[in-house]
Formats: sequence, C-alpha cells, structure tokens
Amino acid sequence: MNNHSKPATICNKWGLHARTSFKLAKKAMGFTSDVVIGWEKRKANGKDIGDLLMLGAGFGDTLTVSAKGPDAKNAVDDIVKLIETKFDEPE
Amino acid sequence: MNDNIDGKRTGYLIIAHGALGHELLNTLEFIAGKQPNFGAIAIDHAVDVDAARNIIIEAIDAVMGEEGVVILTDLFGGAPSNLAISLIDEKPIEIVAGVNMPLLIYATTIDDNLKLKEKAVRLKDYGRNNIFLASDVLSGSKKEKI
Repeated sequence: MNNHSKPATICNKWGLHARTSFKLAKKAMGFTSDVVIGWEKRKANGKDIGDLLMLGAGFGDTLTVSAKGPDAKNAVDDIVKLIETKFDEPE
Repeated sequence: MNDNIDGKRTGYLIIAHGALGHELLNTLEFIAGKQPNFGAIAIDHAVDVDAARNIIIEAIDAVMGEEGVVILTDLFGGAPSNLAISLIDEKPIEIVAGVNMPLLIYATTIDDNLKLKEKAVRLKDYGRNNIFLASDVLSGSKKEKI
C-alpha cells in the first residue's frame, strides 16, 4: 500500500471555507486512496466536507496532505496543486 | 426518469415555509455548483391545500429519478412536511424533516447507488451529527455533537 504526504500552504484569503472544502473533498473523492488533511493537531477525512470544515484552517496555514492507497501520490499531488492555486477561487 | 436530472437515480426536493427552500438551494449551488437533480418549492398559505398538493406533485415529478425522490422539509409537523407526508403512498419518496446545509451538501456527494431509504437515513444522520457547539470545538475538547 502506498503512502504519500506533502505540505501545502493555503494562499486564498478566505481559507478553507464551504466552497473550498467542497472542492477539496470532490477532488479527493476522485481517488481510491484514503486522504487525510492535517493541520496543527487536527486531522480530517479529506473526502468529508463536514470534517474539513472542522479544521478551521485559514489563509497562510500550512496543511499536511496525506494519502494511503494505490493512487496516493497522484491524490496528494492533485490536492496540493488545488490548494496552492487558491482552489481556483478569486480570494 | 426525468431527463433533466442527468441520469441520477435520486432527485431531491426541498419543501419549506416562505423563501427558505429556495434560499437553501441557492446557497447549496453557491457552494457545490449547479445541482440539476435538486428542486425547491415554497408552501404559500394563500394557496388552498389541494392546489399546494398539486404543486408538490409537479415538483416531485420534475426531479424524479429512477428510484424516486428524497423530500427535505424544514420542520416535522409543519404544512410543507404534512403535505409531503400525504403523498407517501402515491409517490416513490422518502421524507427527511429538518433540512440543514450540512445535510444538503452531503446529498450532493452521497453514493447514488444506495437505496432511497438508505440515502434518507444517512442524510438524516449526517444532518444531525453536524450540529456543533462552537465553543467546545474551539476549546479543543471533544467535538461534542448535539
């Protein structure tokens, strides 16, 4: 089973809110691997929007994107890219 | 199946007092994008009961999936909920009373292959389990769910 992990810094000003959490979860759901998003001592299931919203991560915070499964590397790379391109959001 | 709902097995219809249903759907689409298998209607007490019932029947048919429709009402025992319940033997529907935004967002990603009843049960549980006392969450204590 593949494990992969990478940091990603939130660079959109509104941070991880409803729309961005939804985009992250939808992206994660596209992979077979389990995805976990960590911030400080909290961890969220990357495929659960409610769980992601509970993180409360904002602008400038660095998340840890981890995945475990057959497509773990692609999942982490794609999610990190989403975060680092501001979730394709204006702010 | 209605072609409008894009091949989904299940449609979702929010029925609520006043503008609540439409605003919930507007907000859902702001968060999760366009949802062709979702609809919303308001129950207007100026309309008589039979007319309101017909409006609901038309709205159910507009989002009807292969397997049926999950109806999401604002309040068990309220007129929107009671009217929906009156159709339970006529239409392939399940009714979840007490709609909220977590539940709606979850509905956009729920496994479409689940049975209608199982979907409704999961939506009810998800909506209920995602109500938080913010001060408990912020204090770092257990995520106490009401």
